[in-house]
Amino acid sequence: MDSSFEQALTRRLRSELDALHVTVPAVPGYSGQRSLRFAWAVARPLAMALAAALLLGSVAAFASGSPNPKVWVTEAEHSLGIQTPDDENAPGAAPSPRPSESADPGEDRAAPPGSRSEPSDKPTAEPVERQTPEPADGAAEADG
Amino acid sequence: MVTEGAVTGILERAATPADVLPPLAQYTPGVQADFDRLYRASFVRVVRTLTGIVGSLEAAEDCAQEAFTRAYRAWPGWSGDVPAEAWLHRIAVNTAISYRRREQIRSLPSLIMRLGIPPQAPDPAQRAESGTLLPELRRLPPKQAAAIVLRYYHGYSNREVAAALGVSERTVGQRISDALAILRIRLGETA
Repeated sequence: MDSSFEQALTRRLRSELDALHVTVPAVPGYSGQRSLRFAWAVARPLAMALAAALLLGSVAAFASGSPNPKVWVTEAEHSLGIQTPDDENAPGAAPSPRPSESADPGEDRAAPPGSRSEPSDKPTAEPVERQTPEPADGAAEADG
Repeated sequence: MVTEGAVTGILERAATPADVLPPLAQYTPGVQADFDRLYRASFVRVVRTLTGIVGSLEAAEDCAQEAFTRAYRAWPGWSGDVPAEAWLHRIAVNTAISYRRREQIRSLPSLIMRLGIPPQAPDPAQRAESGTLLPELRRLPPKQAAAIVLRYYHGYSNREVAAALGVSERTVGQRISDALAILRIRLGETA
């Protein structure tokens, strides 16, 4: 390549580009990005918490079939077997129909219809039945 | 592809008395103050480089702002294997190439309307005002224009241009050779 041409090109390029009056903006264009990033840093935890709450709420509403959060709590207590103070204070009171409708199907199948207080009595009744055969076995040995 | 010699050479050549660049080690990726210093140190050089590619100062300033915004977003991920200004030039050149593509798409309808009509000769007054070299650079493919500006304005070697643009030295040599051949025809021997 012709070096004189390249030298002339360099001179022309430098003279034309150096003649441009360029000023550095006092407020850079990326400063908007800075404030945006700060806003995102603040809003991100809130957005994630809101998204998690919405997700949990939608799952609970779908599982319980009700949008009422009180129903979700009751459902959760029943499925976990937690006795609430309300249940202890009023043992004879019939539970509200909504939890019994959507309660765990396994519990409903085990409990006879119409006797909703029986599932809590069953665990106490079974050990009594197991204790009674022991004297009976002893009596059989004595007989034999 | 990017050697320490190329990196050092870019820094040495970039350190003109007008805008001395701080050493490579003084920039830390992701640090806000360091990016602000890089912005102040290299904005003028980046705008001049972009003017050689896009052809007008206004467009070059717009592209420079966009390039710095992109660079600011990528600043935490800057690895430091290429000098900060060379890394910045790569982003700026890519921004200018995107600008030229958009400009070509925008001018497509008027180009179709002008089909068959002989092109108008450039206005001599405008040519005299803006010089003759910058409009000719603007007519080059943007990648060739970028190589010419980095090579003959900033004084980078082919290896350093390759480091700044992220291509091989052979590619840079081919681009410069093609661009010089075109410019010699259009400008004549006087340049």
